[in-house]
Amino acid sequence: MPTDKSTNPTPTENIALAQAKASVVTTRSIPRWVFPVAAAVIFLVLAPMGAAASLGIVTTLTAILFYVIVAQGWNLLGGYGGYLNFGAAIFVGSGAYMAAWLNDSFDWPVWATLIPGGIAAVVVSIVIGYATLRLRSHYFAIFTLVLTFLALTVVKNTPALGGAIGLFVRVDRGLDSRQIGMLFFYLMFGLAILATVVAYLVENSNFGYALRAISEDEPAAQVLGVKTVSVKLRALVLGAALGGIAGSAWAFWTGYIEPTGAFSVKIALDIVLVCVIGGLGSWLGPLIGSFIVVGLEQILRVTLPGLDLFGFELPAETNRLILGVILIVFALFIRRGVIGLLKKRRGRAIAV
Amino acid sequence: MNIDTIVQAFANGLLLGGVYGGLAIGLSLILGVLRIVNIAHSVIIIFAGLLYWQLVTGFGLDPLAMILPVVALAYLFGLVVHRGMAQQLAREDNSTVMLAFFGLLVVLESIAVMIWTTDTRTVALGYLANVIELGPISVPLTRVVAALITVGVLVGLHFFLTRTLTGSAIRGLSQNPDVASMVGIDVTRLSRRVFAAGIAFAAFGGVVLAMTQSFNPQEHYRWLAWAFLVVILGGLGSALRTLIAGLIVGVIETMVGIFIPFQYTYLVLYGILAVALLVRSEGLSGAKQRII
Repeated sequence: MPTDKSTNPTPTENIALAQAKASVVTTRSIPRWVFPVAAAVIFLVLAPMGAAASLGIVTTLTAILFYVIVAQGWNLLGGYGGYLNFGAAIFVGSGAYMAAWLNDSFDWPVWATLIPGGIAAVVVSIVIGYATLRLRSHYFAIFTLVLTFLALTVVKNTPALGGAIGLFVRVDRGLDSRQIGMLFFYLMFGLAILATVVAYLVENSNFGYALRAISEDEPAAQVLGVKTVSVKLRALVLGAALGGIAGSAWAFWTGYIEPTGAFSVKIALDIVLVCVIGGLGSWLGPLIGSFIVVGLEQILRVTLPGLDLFGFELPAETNRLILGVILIVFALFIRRGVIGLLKKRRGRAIAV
Repeated sequence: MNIDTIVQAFANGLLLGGVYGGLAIGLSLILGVLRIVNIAHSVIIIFAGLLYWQLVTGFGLDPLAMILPVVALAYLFGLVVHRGMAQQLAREDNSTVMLAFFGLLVVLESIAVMIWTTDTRTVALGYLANVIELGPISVPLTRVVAALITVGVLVGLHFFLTRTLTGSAIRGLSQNPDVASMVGIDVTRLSRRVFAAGIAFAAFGGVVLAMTQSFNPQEHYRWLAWAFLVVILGGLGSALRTLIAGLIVGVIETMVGIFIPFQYTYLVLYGILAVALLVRSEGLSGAKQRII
């Protein structure tokens, strides 16, 4: 994996970054400080919920926070860099399986598996990135989609990972369900804050500008001195690490993982939706998108079974059908998501 | 292992490869001419396969006569998708287009599962279910029919693209849409027809797949990988090269299948896919210059 030794950008890179900055300047109709304050308020309101809210609400909020972590990671390459990854489940699944395996074979507790889970996802991401990130973004997108299925096949045929049956993951037995709910809420809460801070720092760094330059016009960015492959690979690896860490916490939280659940396109769809609805390439987007997507899924789950269409009861897939339609609608009409509605864009400053 | 096993595997591989050529041509056409990465390709394949299964096994209609209605329906569907979605995105960047097609993938997969559940389906082919004995080897008649139809269709497409005026217009469109419109080609209308034809070819791939294999609505990603592999090996836009690449993939799959267990042949093909990506790293940009 290529790394650059110097922290100071070279003169060419400076020009490139200045160009990139010029191309992504946005004139906000809302003052700049509103967004960090909004995020802080969201987290401050959430903070007492783990202890105060009912168990059902805590479970929903934990799911939202899980999506925040994975989506912030996904957004680095997918949102800022424009390289869509339809295999978010690969990183979540690698982390989850690493954690489950460590727990199953060596009885490791949840806190000890977070780092190994992240490392597992990082290793997988380096292999994927090395093979595909030199190419155009379509290859990366198709490859990640296809690899989800490959990962599923491999895990299904690996007896050490439980094969098609899966693995049980045991949390400390001494805790009751309320305490376990709290434990995972605050674990995900901490990780979500971490992921959001990472995304915020990336957005406002040269690394973030380089990623957006790649998204705008990759050959131009390369000509101007951005080390595109290295930048993309770093974004992928950082995102995968967050996905893997979230995945290992998720494995303990659900208590049982099996290949079709861990490597499902459902996870990938949810993550893509979270970022698209919230706003691609914005650190606040995944935070808002997670609430919208999980809230929407909860509403659909509650209301759909009650409805019927011309006398037929609606099957469970209606849920996914509606999410798919929403994705198409956002891609066609609301490309920059909810955050994009709040920001006004000045338009592209350079066209190379 | 004797020579008969190898000859048998080779024959199976060629027949399978014919089907793979059929699976990939729709993807290749839409990518090569319109620069759209149709990641919903495989779900259209499976949707058409399920529809074909419904007509042939469900309603007991004639297996050969039912190919055309399925393909025609797919063509109409393609016209609608282009009008409602692809055309709106014509000037957008790739990632927006791919997001929309990912949405289409999810929608079609959900509808397929809602109608036909997640069961694995096998088409009962009636009079096509015989086996032909050719000396030491035996081949199922359906595979021969499917492979022959595919070869016919791909060769026909090749001559259509290289020998007719419309074919020239399509090649012009693939090279430069702006210049194509300057010389009087109605780019929007032609694009729509090419897109619909690509969807129809995907459906055709689904039909030949359904004739020869069992399939499952949720495992279509495998066929996306295969179609993608054939497109990478064959380059874009040439129907004949797509056919040859399909044959190569088919033969590799059955030959590898002699030596290692069934479930690991996939891994070998995925490995080849990774290697193909690394070696043909000029990718689309390199292939783009090769004319249809």
